[in-house]
Amino acid sequence: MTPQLSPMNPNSIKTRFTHRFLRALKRLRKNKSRAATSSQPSALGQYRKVKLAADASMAAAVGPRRVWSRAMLWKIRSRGFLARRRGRRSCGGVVRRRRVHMGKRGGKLGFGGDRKTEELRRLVPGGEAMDLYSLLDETAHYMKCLSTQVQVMRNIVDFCYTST
Amino acid sequence: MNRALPEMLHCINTPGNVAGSFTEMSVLERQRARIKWQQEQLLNQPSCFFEGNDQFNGYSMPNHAQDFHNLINSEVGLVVKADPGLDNRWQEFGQFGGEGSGLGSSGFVNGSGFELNYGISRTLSCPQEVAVAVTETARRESVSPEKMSSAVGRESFKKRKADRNQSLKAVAEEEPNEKRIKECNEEDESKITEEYSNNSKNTTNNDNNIKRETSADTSKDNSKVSEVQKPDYIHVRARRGQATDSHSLAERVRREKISERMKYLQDLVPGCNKITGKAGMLDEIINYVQSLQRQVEFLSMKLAAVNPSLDFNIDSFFAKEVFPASTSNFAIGVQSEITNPAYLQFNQLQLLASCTGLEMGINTPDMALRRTTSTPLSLPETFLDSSCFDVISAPSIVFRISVNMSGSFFLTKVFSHYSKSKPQQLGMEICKTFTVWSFCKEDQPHFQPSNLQTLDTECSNEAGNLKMEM
Repeated sequence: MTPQLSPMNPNSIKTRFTHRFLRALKRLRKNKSRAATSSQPSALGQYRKVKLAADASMAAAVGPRRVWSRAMLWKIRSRGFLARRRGRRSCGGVVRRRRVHMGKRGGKLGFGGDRKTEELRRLVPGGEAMDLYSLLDETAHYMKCLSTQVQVMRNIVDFCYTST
Repeated sequence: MNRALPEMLHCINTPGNVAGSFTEMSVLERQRARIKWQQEQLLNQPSCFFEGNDQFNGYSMPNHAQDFHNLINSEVGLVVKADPGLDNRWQEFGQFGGEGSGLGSSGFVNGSGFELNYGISRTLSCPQEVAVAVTETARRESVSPEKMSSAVGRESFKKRKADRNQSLKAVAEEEPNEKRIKECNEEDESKITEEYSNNSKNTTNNDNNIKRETSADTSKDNSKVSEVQKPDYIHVRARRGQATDSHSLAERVRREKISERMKYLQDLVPGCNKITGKAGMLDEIINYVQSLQRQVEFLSMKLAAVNPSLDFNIDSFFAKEVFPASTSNFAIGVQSEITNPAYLQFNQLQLLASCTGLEMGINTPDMALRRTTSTPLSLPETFLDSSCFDVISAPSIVFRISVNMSGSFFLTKVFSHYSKSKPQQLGMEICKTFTVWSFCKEDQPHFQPSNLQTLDTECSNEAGNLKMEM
């Protein structure tokens, strides 16, 4: 495969995501090399960090225009708080997160009941409190962004494996 | 409406620059005729008629509009007969561009007449029979004293025009009547809604209803508003027997929006084109999103493994690798255009290979020890080198390793999917099991040697098949 330079839009989500993600990876690597002297970093922790970086850079590249990116950024920012709360709750008992009640909307549609839409809600960040139309809208955008993310990350991984 | 009329007149004027001297002649004629008519009508404040027209800027007092209206009613025949060009135009306004007499400008007047009617039918888009049926009530209403007393210039003007058309025995009766209906929309909305629904229960066109709802409170001149508002609403049509109240209309609009969004999603998700039915589509969408999320997880795992040994240079990345022109090589589940199954399998095998290689790289020695002790099979040396994987030798190794790690569940699932020859599904399953496995790898997957033996034979069979296929 001969690498060709393609004209890239500096404002496209793809470019912005790539910049952010690579910067985040660099930062991670620096932190890791510093921490490696003291203790062996666990693979799972490293994976989580990379995943977080990928998510955060994706959401930040999209910006606050979309509901899903806002929700994702909020989740990432307040993850420490959420984890603490989750830990506190888990010792008390299982508490389900309350969903915004959407009335009888989902049932009317003949979409195979609420179950499918519930599943989709769980998949799309911030999808818990949307009506169906905006849920589908957000899903479409989220899907596009995810595929962009996958593409870019795959290229990065490929680059890494070929260069080593 | 009264603002629309000057526009219409203007519209008649405008074709002049489109079509040569012929129409310019006619325009001139018409202007002359109009001036003549104005002179004749000086007593009756004719400029009120041409309100808003740029040629007749003198705007009149609307207080006298009622008088003017009455006068027009009495001598409308005379007025119009005094000016044949105008007469003709009026007729053609009513006739919807059919049998206009052969005056020079007939074509264009017809066109404008069409526009007029079009504008009307846009605001009131009900079938003609219905319109005729409705006109009865509209006429009744128009006679009502309340309306007569409301001597605002615009409305009386409209009615005047309608009356003119009636006295002229315009061929198409719909036009003035429809105009009246619009007037009634302005004036007395609930009444007309009620009567309208009574008259045309079966063949109601809902967009009229919706339009009325939207434009009821906005402003007085409907035609202008309707022209502006046209892109704002969605066309919804009620078929026979469908409800026409606002709730069900809103529901229908909502459903239409949702199905439009679904169609868009259907285009986005590869392999979703054949699926009909929203449940199946939702299923497919969910699967696709999940697979994408898993791919991201998997790739980040890979990156986590490779990260320390690499020196990043962002610029070089951008220059060389990150944006190659052909990205379709890397897209398994991303692009739908990949149809070459052999390449897909190859790609997934590589994926698997590298992921297992990655695991080897990550794992602490005791994990590796456990693995080797639990396997009856010896790991080949090449396995450790993940980058230079031989494609042909990859399958058996990969499958054995995954058997070792995650038990029989994975293999059976993968093979069942594989035998169905669904490469994309296979990739998804691999990703899924990989993540599952990576998360539960701390708590030692239970391992059954007997199971492995059978699976191993199965595995080698499948690997042979794979080789054959590749």
